[in-house]
Amino acid sequence: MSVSYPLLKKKLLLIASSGQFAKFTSQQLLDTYSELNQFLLSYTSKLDSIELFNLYELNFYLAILTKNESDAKLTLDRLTDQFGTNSQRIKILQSIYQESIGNLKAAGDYLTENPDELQLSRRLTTLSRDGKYISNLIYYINLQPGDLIAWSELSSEYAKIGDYKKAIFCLKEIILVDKVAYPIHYKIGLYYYYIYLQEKETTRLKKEKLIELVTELKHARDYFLYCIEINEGYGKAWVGLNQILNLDIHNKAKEVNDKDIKKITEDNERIKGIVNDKVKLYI
Amino acid sequence: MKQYIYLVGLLLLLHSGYSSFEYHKFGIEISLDIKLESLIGVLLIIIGSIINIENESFLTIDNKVIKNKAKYLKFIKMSDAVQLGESLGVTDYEEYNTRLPFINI
Repeated sequence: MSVSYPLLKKKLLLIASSGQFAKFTSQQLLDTYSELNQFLLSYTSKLDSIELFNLYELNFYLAILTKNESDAKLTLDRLTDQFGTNSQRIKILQSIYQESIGNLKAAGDYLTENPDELQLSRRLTTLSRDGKYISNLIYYINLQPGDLIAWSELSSEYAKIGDYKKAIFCLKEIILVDKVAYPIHYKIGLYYYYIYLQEKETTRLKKEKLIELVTELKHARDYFLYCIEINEGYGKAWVGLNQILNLDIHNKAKEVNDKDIKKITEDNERIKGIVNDKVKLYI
Repeated sequence: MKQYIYLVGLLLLLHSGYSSFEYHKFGIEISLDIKLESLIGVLLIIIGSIINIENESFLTIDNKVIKNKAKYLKFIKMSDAVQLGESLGVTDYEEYNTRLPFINI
């Protein structure tokens, strides 16, 4: 199927600006790489210079991710010819190229030339993805606490090792600045639910433990609700909400004589009907 | 179709302009139909320009065309405005998910 030039251009530029290709499957990477090459062959003369060099940068990343180092080098040379080697963005591309061909020392050298260039420091943290990665990220965040993508990366690293409380702390730092980032609200809700799963016991629960677990679920419920308040059509949040409201633990909680727990279970009952109706649209 | 509205509006405006020039040459007062013609011409040009700012469609990764439900501008209600990104699979908060600066090569 042939696709019109303006639509394809818009799609490729959106992929380049969002960095969406970083989460592509191998097939999606190959398809996009060949589509971009075809597009550049046919329409280079029609593009303005900003669009063209953004697409060259995308081509560089796709070539690296599909193991086409020679094409990556060619594209990198085009970019360095145009912009020189002083820009942080170019230095990062040069470092990524060296990393992809296994030359970690040269990759590190590009990133350590000037400690004031924080984008390079950020990339430098990724050169040791072993046990030191989290401490490197914390060191960088101490230098640049306003870097929300770094907080997101740190959160994802904590989640990988199952430390959901710290992961939630990092995500809350993001919503302090970006209050309407609804996928982050959803993620916080999800991590609270994971904390519940980690801590629940199959044996008979003591009252204190039960209160603690119900409170964790209350936090999960509240963050799913924040997410839905911003984006009513976010199916995953409705499904998450349905999941936590139908847990057996709420029936046990009804037997507990505690004012706060009573309030939580009453609120849960109040929204259950709406959630049951809505979730049918997404399951 | 949209371009024709522009064209018709422009032709009407040119014609009314030329007619009024001819009327002036002979010192006759401009008639009502010429005034109306120029007014309709201007209105058609305005309508044509508003119709032409209509939002365009987008392509998903799999090259499916997604029509923008908001015809002219973005929706004011955020819940509606973010649905286009959700259908495309690229939300305004994608960078927190993709984290390109930390990409593992």
